Amino acid sequence: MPANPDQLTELRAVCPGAKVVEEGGIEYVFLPDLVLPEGCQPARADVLLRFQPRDGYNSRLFFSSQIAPVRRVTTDALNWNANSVGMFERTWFAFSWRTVEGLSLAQMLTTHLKGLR
Amino acid sequence: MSVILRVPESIRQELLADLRRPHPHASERVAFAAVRLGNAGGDPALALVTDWWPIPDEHYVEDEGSGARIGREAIRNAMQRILDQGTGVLHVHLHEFAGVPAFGRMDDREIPRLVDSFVNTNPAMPHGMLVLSPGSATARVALPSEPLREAQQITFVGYPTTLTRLVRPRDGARFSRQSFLGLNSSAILASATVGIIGLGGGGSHIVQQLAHLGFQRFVLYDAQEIESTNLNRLVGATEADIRASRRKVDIAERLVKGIREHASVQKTAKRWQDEPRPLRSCDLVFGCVDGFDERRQLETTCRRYLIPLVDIGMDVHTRDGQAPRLVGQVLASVPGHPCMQCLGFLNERTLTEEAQRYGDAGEQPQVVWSNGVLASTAVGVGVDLLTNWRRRGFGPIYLSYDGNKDTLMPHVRLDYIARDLVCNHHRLNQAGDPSL
Repeated sequence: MPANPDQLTELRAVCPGAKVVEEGGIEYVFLPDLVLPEGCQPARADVLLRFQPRDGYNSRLFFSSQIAPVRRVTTDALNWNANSVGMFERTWFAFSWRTVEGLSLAQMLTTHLKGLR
Repeated sequence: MSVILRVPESIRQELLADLRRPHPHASERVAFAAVRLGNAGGDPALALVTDWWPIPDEHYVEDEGSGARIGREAIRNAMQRILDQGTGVLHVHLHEFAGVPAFGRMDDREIPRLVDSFVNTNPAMPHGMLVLSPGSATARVALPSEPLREAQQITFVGYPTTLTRLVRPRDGARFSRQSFLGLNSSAILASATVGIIGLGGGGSHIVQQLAHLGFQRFVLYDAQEIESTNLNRLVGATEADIRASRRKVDIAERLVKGIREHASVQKTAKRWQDEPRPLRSCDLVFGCVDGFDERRQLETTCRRYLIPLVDIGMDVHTRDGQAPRLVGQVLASVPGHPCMQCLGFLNERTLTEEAQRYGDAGEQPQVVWSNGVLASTAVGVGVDLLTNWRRRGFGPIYLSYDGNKDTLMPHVRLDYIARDLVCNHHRLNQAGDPSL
C-alpha cells in the first residue's frame, strides 16, 4: 500500500525533509536528520520508516546508527536485532519493537521512538 | 576517471528495432536513452541506461547534408524528460555494419553541442552520445563536471551479457581445450570483472574454477578468518592456514594466483555492505552468502548497478526419524528479468522466519560435494551468461538441487512464470546511486 499523502504531510511537520523512497519493491519514508527523544546519543539520526508489514513486523524503524536511549550510556537495553542491514547503499540498524496495525505514519514513528525512552 | 556504460539488453534490442525503421525523409534515425549515475566519485564511474524513447517522425528536419537532423521539439522534449525524471540522456544512433562503430565527423561536430545543452539542464547526471552497431557500440559520456570521454567498456546486460571491449588473454593457446565456448571466449573471460561474495564452501570452489577458466579480474569479499570447522569444505585451505587464522580472502587470492599469477585480485576482508564500491565495477557476481535477507540485500545492490548475479545456497532439513534432506539452489538474477521474489525464492514466509531468529541464518550445515555441485553449476551458468555458448536464449534460471537423489532440476515454480515476465520489484528506472 503506498504512503498516504495526508499522513506524509503530517510527518513533515516533525521532519520537513521526509520523503517516500522505494527499493526492491518496498516503500519507505526517509526522515533525514530526525531529532530523537531528549537524552538519546546521538541526538539526531537519519531514519527509514518501513511502513508496510514485512518480516513479521507491522512496521520497522531503521536508524543510521545504533542509538543509546534516554538515561543510558549504552545501546544494550534494546534488542538491536537488525544490524548493519544494507539498504539504499547504506547500513541501517533497528531494534525489535512491535507496533499494532492501523497506525498513521506519524503514530508509527512516535510508537517506535517510545522504545528509546 | 574512467567510465563504464551499462545498457540492459532488452533496451538495446528495442533501440535497434526503432533505429532500423525507415523514415519518410531522413536516411537514419535518432533516439534518446535515459541514463543514471552509479558509483559517483569512484573509479570507474558507471553510466546506467534505464529507459529510452523514440523521436516522432515529425520531429525530424529535412536536411540533405546529414543522415538525420532532429528539430527543436525533439530536443525540448528530451530536456523536459531530464527535468521531470532527474536523469541524464544519451543521443543514440545506429551504424548498420559489423564491428566496433565510430562516430563520424558530423557526429563529432554536432552531437557534443547537444550534449552541452543536456549538461546545462541537469549537471548532476551523466550525458553523452552512443552509436550502436549490430553487435557492439561506442560511447562518449560526460560525467558531472567532466568533459566528454570515451567509455572504456560498454556492457549489454541480459541473457547473454556482452562485453564490447575485450582484452587479449595472456597465452591464449592454453585454453584450446575449451575453445568450444566460442571464438572470443578466452578474451571475454579475461576481460570480465567477476565478484565472489563469500569465500567459504561454495565461493572457494567458484574462485578456483574461474581461475582455471581464465578469468583475470577478481573482486573478492569475505570478512572472516578460517576456522577448523571450515576445513571440511573450503577449497585451497590447509592446516597451516588454521594455525595462522588466515583470512579467507587471502586463501582465495593465493588460490587464484597459484593458477593465474598475473590475475588482478581486489580483496576486501569486510562485509560487502560496509565497502560496496569494488562490487559495483563487477560485470558478473557470484553470491555465496548465508540467509535470505542477505541475498535480498545483495540482489538489490546488483540490480541497482545492472549486474547479473548468480546465487547458490544449500541447506539440510532434519525431521525426527527421517533421513536428513540435503537441498539447494542455483539461481540467476539478471536486471530487468525475474528476480528472487518473482521466482518465489524470496518470500514473506522465509524472510519472516529468518527475522524471528533475529537474522541468524543458523548453523548452516555444509558438505564439500554438494557445495561442489552447486558451485560448478553456477560457474557454468556464469560462463554461459558471458559467452552465450549454449545459445539458449532468454529464460529464467532457477535450479533445484536434491542431494538425496543426486539431481539438479529446473525448479517447479518456473512452470508458472511467464518467460517474458518483467520484474516489478527492481525496476530498471531505479538503477543508479540512491538519492536519499
